[in-house]
Amino acid sequence: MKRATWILSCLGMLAFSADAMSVSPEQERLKSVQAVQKKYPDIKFEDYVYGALAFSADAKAQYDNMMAFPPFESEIDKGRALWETPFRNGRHYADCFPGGGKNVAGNYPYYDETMKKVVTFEMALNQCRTKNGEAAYKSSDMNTMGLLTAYARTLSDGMLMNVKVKGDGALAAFESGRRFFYQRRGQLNFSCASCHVGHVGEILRTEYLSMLPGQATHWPAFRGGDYALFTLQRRYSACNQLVRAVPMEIGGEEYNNLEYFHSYLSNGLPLKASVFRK
Amino acid sequence: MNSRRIAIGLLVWGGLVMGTAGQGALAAEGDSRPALSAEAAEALARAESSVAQATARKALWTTATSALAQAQEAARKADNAAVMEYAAVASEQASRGMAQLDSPLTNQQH
Amino acid sequence: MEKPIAIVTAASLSLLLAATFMSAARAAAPGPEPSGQELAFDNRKGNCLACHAMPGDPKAVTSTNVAPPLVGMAARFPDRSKLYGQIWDATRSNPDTAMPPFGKNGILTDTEINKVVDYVYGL
Ligand code: HEC
Ligand code: HEC
Repeated sequence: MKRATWILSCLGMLAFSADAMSVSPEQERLKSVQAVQKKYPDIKFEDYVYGALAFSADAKAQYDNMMAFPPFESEIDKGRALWETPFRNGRHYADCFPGGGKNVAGNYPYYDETMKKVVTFEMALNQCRTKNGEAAYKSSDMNTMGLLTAYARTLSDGMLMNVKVKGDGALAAFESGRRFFYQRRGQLNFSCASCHVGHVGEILRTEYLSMLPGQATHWPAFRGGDYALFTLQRRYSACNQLVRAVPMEIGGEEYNNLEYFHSYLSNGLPLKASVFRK
Repeated sequence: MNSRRIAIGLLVWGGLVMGTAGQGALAAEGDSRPALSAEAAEALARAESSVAQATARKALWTTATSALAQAQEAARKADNAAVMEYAAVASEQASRGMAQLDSPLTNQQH
Repeated sequence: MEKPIAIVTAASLSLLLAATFMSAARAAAPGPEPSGQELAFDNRKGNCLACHAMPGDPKAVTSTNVAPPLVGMAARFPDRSKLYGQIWDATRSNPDTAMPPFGKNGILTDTEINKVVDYVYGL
């Protein structure tokens, strides 16, 4: 491997293609988890899904209180109505998924060998719509797609994230997402990893920084005083803007690949959709 | 976010068209308004093409976008000095964004 | 051996850049020029407080522990150009750093960095 890397560099191949081959997705995930375990041996692996809350007992207690009676429950109900209302042909979303849509979200995103691209759960919901003669929703529209996932994803609560990366196409998509995560961007020159790997659990002015493993398990989230609905990709967009980078398109290839990498790094952790976040 | 991209696209391409059409077009638009100097029009066109390139390479900074918008606004008022100022910032920030793509990845754990 | 050269280059490059940014900064922010302290606190400017505590300034309110506190700076950075260089482009001393390259990326102008340096020297 070392030798191959060396030869490739000498041939003037891009450094990252060599780099990509040196670590498998599973090694990458294990390294990520081990780094958090080493820095925070007292935090249980399952608790990584709480992200920043895992570092503050107070904040976690407030969260638990709120989640007993989520103030955004009516929004999840709107999503339920979207999910249950039949299409004009009489069929339902539930007909598009095994088990009526229960315990499926953890299998997404997956790499589709025929389409040669990553398919997110949102895309699968849209495929279900178009197959049944309905227009696709925009992935960036929180009032349609966002609300729909706020219910649909709860049907997979408790399922362990189970994303698979097999084959060259899948690996390339994973690698593209991985690069996105570690590449500096924006005028402020941060990579996602600058904050969520390099300074995990530390406090940026007032905010604890969450760890990469577990970040993809609990979407959408309802954020802040007005419980604004954020899908995972809307959160990407917000973190891009934080560093003064123009965000990518929600539902576009860059974010889909990022979500693929990101979700794989959350493998083995339990899903829980529609939670509160600051 | 789509709409944002489209908006940026419109800004950039709308601007490019304006840039190429140049002084004459601007002057024709409002007779009483002074024309943009050739120098300013050129700086603006350069900024617009840098921002378009950075957009295509997915490396655009929000600072480049806003400086370009300010340059375009100044162009509408034919404020040559301001156009030059903001266009220079937009070009510089756009090319820094593209150069950033070559910077090493950070915090890899291996 | 390489570092001093890097810093000198950084500083001279920054002079070039400063010409570009100073006027833009002026136009963008009318009103009184911000002080070094204001620049260091403002989250649209230096935002040093996001990552550095400043125990020497009672007005510096932050919970951060991301980076070493800025204390005893005059003693620790007798060479002004070294402090300037760290703020201008921190990636030169640590390629993995989370500290933004304030000068290199035009986040702060040369004048602004100098004001921040003056302020930080008082800590
Ligand atoms: C300047 C630091 C910084 C950078 C860079 C950054 N983030 Fe964040 N991110 C935050 C902060 C602060 C929060 C809120 C606290 C938390 O949950 O970590 C956050 C939250 C998140 C969350 C939500 C975690 C949760 O449980 O609610 C995700 C997901 C996330 N970031 C992903 C990313 C991705 C992907 C990138 C790169 C595109 C990125 N971040 C870049 C600071 C950053
Ligand atoms: C996003 C976080 C962040 C911000 C914002 C930031 N820094 Fe830093 N800074 C760091 C880190 C991390 C280090 C540790 C060394 C390294 O990684 O470069 C550091 C190191 C330093 C050092 C060297 C400290 C020492 O004790 O040797 C100085 C001086 C410094 N920063 C000044 C500043 C000033 C002044 C500002 C505001 C203009 C600022 N920093 C903003 C993260 C930051």
